[in-house]
Amino acid sequence: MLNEKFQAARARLVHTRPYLATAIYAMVPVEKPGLGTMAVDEFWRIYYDPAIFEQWSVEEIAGVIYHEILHLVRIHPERLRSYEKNIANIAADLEINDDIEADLRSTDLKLPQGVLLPKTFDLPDRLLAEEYYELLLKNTVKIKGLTLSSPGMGRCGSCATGQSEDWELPELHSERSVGQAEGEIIRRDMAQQIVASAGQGNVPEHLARWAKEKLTPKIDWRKELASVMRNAVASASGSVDYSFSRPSRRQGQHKIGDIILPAMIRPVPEVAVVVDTSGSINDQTLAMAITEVSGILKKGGLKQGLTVLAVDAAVHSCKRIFDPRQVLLAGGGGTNMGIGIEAATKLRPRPQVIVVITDGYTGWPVVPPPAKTIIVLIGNGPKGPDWAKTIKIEGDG
Amino acid sequence: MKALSIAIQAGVPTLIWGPPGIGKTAYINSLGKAMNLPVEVEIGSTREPSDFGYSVVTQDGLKKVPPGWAIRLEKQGRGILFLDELSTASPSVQAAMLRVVHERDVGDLKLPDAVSIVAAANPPEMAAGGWDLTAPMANRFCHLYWNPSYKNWVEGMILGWPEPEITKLPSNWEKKLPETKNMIASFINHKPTSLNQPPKEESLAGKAWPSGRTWDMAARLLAASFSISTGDKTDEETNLQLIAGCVGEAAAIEFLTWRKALNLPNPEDVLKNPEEFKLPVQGDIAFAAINSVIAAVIAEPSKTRWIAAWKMLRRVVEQGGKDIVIPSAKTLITNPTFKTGYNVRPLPKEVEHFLEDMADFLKISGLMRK
Repeated sequence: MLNEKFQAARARLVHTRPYLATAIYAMVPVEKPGLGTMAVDEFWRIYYDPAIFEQWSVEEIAGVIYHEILHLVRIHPERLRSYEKNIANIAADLEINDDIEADLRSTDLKLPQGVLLPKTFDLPDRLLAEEYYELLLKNTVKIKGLTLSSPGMGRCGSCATGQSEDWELPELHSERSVGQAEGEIIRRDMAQQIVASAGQGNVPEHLARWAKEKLTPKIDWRKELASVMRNAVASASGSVDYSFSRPSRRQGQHKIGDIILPAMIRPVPEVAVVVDTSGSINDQTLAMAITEVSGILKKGGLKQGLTVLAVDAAVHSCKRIFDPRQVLLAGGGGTNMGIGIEAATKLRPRPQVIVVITDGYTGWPVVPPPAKTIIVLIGNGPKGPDWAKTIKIEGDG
Repeated sequence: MKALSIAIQAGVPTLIWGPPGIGKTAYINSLGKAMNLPVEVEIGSTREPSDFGYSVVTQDGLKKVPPGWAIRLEKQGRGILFLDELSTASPSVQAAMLRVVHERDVGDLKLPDAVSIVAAANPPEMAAGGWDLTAPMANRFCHLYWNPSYKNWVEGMILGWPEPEITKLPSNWEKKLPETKNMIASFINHKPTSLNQPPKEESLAGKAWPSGRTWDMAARLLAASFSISTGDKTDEETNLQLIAGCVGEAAAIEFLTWRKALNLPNPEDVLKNPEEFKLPVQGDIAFAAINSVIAAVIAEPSKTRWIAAWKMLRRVVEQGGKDIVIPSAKTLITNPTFKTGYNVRPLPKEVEHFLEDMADFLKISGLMRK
């Protein structure tokens, strides 16, 4: 039979945070007299010393379970496995505790003996455990002065670090373990329930944010841009074909003798970049977008540089560049990307791919230009026309 | 890489994603050795289309001559064909390689069924001049991800690379196929939108996505995985890797979640014999089982069913699940139908008994004031 106070704490936590119920009950309780604390391993087993429950209140036990679940929710074992254990545990605690500080104040959940907070180490709130880890390495004196004795205070078990303590059970054991796959199923289910409970007033902001990200993973715009550019360049360059301009790899092979075989060549397409310099986008963001575009092209084998046109209501400069730092961004008046696109199509050699970098507040030509067009949209402006592929990028990079 | 050895034995084409230079080829070679299968390695970026069958004029007309490796594989009747660097091969070579994968034709030769195809690719952002796979191509593989931990690498460096551990599939593994096909079919019945979801974003086009073909592959792999599981315990990690490799992670997790719910006791059976309800040992399963009974009562309310649910909750409390019943009890009390319909004073004796049993516990947990 389970310890009654432990059960009471679970009931209290489920009452306060109903959407955590599946995760709470998925944790496998393991009684461990003499442990002197409560801790959770990376396989969702929760170890407790019944004696410690004499000292902790139901609210405190519930708070500890809450804190430890958040380690598992944030996949700390996977993230921190190769970091130094003690510091990693503190870093993981800091990532959680600054988020739940206000959260604990508004509920009846508590952590025993106070918690470690970023401000304990004069560090800013809201960083990731990995970032705290780097910063903590510079402040080891303070860490040595601490007694790390309880959950939330640098001693949580392998749920925080992915590195097992000597009293933890092995993964394969008669006490069930929750592996990564099952853990992921529980996390997804939890995220769905959190989204469903939005508006009931019991979802703290950090969990709402987590659930949203879990269910709608952000597409990395850099990857997306790279894919779209690669595909555009690949299909524009077209005619991958045999040519006699280079010898075949099979030339000189047995029995071929004097016959000259063709080799494969791949024409490299011409790319023009039209940049919106109408003033509504800051130069830093523009420079970042151009760097990204030229980086992708360079990787794709485009060595002859690209033509950059600075455009607002008129074309201000048009220059072939080999390094993104060469870009001169003149302009700053009204906006008409149509003019820029038209100017680009008149370039010789004619570009097969046109990349437009803009905030979207511009006119567009009705007739698609005779080139593949990619619109790199900065900020939350309106999407470009249907004949172009639009990639939205985040302003802060 | 248990998943990989299962896929090879089940004859599902596999695509391994991983950065260059981490020993994929060496691993495939040692895998072949451990499984006693000949391995033929073809590296895409140094090949040209004619390496996958070229034409020769003979007296009988045009003949497509298969290359040496294909002839060797045909002679042995089995083996592993490893197509390395699929994503950095030029499009025409890629096309030639994929013809081998799709149709198993090399020149005029057909690869024997017992030849398994494994391909490897570097993520396009990691390779110079890499190409994305197109969505239809990506849809013919089980995608597995290769990220060996640095610890394993260090160990291998010092102590030598261990022989891969292979779990051999029993010869009759396909016996499980009807079961897994049925399972996947009923999942698709339950959620038809999961059947076909071509990727919307271009950067995801070269990855796994759900389609009729990939679900079929998933059924084969799941059957293979079931055939080597001992007792009732299946290896969920491997299952997730295999299914996600075919249909993508989101669809795979939905499927596994649904499958988990299948193992719960039937709510109607519980309501017929609430006194015999046995509380599952695993907490989350117990919680889900109780919830499903309560949901059944709410979906089809009647006083008999309502009281049966209370009887079940009391049985749960007797078996130690004091905290686990609280949300359900709350639902039974506060649901509008029951509140107005049956929750008349005096309370039915089943509810009275339940509350008596729970009174002390509710006080300890602070959920009921004295």
